[in-house]
Amino acid sequence: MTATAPAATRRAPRSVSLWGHPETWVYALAAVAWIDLAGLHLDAAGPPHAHHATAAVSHHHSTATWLLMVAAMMLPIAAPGARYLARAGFWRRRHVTTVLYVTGFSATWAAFALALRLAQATLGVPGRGPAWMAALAVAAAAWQSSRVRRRLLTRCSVAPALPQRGWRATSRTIQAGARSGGFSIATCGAAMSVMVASDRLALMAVLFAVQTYERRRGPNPFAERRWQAPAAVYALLAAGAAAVAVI
Amino acid sequence: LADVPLRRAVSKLDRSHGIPQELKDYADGVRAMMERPLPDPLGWVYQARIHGFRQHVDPAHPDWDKCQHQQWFFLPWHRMYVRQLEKIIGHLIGKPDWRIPYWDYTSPDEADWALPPEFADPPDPDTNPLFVPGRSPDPLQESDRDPAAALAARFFTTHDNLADDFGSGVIHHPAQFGHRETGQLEYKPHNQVHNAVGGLMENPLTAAADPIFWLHHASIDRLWEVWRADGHTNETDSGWLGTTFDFPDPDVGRKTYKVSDVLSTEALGYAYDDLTPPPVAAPEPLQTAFLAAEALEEAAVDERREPELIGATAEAVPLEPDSTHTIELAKSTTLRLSEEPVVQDAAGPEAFAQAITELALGRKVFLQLENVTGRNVAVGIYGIYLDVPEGERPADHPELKAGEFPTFGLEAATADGGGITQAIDITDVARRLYNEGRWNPDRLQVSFDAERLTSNKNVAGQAVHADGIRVYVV
Repeated sequence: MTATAPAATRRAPRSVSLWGHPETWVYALAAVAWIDLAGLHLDAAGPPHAHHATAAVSHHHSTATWLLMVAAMMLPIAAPGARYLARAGFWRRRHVTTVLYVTGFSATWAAFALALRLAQATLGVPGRGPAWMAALAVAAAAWQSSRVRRRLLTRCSVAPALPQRGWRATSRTIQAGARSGGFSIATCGAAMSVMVASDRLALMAVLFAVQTYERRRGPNPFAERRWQAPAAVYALLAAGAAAVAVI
Repeated sequence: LADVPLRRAVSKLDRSHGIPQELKDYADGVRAMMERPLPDPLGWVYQARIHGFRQHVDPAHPDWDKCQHQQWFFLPWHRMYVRQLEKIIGHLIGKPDWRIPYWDYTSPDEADWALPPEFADPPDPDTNPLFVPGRSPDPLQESDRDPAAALAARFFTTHDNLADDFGSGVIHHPAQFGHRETGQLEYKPHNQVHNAVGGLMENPLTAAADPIFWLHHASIDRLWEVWRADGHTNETDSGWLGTTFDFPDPDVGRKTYKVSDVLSTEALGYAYDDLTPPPVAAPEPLQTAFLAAEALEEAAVDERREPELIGATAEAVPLEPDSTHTIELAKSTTLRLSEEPVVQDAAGPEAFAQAITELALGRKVFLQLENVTGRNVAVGIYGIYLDVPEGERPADHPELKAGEFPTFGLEAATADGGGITQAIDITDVARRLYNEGRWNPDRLQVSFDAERLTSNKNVAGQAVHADGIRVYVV
């Protein structure tokens, strides 16, 4: 028996759809988070209409908002890993893998955010204002320049081979996302902590640009400069914040 | 060819008056380098340590531990490295046109598979600088030097860390070992010849101290040119092309190469005497019952197609000799292959499943060992077998042997964090199983055999694991 291939049975290849780019909606989520944050900032900066502004500001300082910032800034960093693991697995599992991976990644960041907030509350430190920003930016610059961090950044690219069936597939994919989240906290957590001191949209944009710059594709020797340039940005940020604090 | 000095096959050098002049020059050069102790950058030990020494960057010796393996700088970095050695030797012996011969083990003549005699005799390092102790006395086996899979690779890199590439996988952060998949040329003959020669050659931290290392790498460099001359194109990614490496240089002190600078050997000042592809065995034909040959050909159009996973182990896999592991294959209807037009009209579910199997096996099939890590590695080369009958030894079934896994660089890749990811072309054995009615659509059994040992030899004391084993079709 021989199967034939009449033209009528041809289908459009899925590679041009979301199946070919399962990470697309991870970027979309990040974009939504940016839009939401921009809306909140516009509300907060807009004309005073008491109830709305108060609600916005209250929300603005909540842990949920901090998580929104993490989603905006960190999901684009998680997307390539999700894409790799989804495409390396069974075709039918691509979107499931992406969901599970991003769940593990986000859960780890949520735990980090909650731990930060808890530490802030327990120690009774406000953590906000230019003096704190200067201190946190100095810490970020120091960590950025450390050899340990550079080694961690290199190891970020190691992707696990995930099982493809049953509960093992589910748990290992979540674990892979959590592991990646752990690596990104280890490499970007210090920089993200600067946002504790100030959650201005412009600061977010600067930090996001720095993280993206460091992970961009390009000639390898520039990788040396990739960590130097962010360290310089954090140092500048620290100097600026310190100047404001003194004035 | 442009008017540049040639690198010639070591077996074809003129031996009518004893040791060929090119090898006398090489021995003189090696001796002259050995007489330059550390920290002379033109000395033998210094040059060997550029490849590997302790596997961590020592600020006091920024030149050392710079070799590039298991990623896409493997070929260009070693091209630069060998060219610099050639320049140093030419400088020291006063013959700037001296070019290193290559070990032409891809020749079909079995006599060429043994070490060139000048490297083994006399076996005394005091009188023969080309000899080092500890090498295997055996010639290479046919499988060690077989470049078929490498020369059949269609792309320099696949950009997806999956199988079927010539020059290993993409990295964008510096990494000496690991982190991406080992390309087909690096796998074989490169890694396998390192393990088969043994001694200093079996470890990247010592390999370059063996004079045969440089002829081996000239051979690998030549195969890159053979592949390219056979109609393939190098990578065009600007990140790859723009990456630079620098080396000590006998004329200008330091020499910095961009990858894009070394894609033409003529521009570097050498060419090869022969770029004819070596003969390779014809692939096993697939006997189809459910797909027409024309339909298969249509489906196998040579395009940059995404690899598709068709099976994976459920757990991490210990690579113990004589161990067997099960790969669960995907249900045929869940594969993307099931959407191919050529299988759409198969009559009934059974015929549909068979047609998909035939479509898969009509393409290239790869077994991929993922993130293999190892300590105290005692097995130098694993034999890999498919569907060995239960209770029987893999080595008793050479017809089921799908390939090998050489462990060169495994401990280094483990220390660097990533391990080795290695794809092995199993198309021929998979087709043979199918043709003989032995292909199981639900699972594939993979068995490992300790084919050759390292100088460690304590197999019970080693710990080698793969994160998983997967089967892809491309």
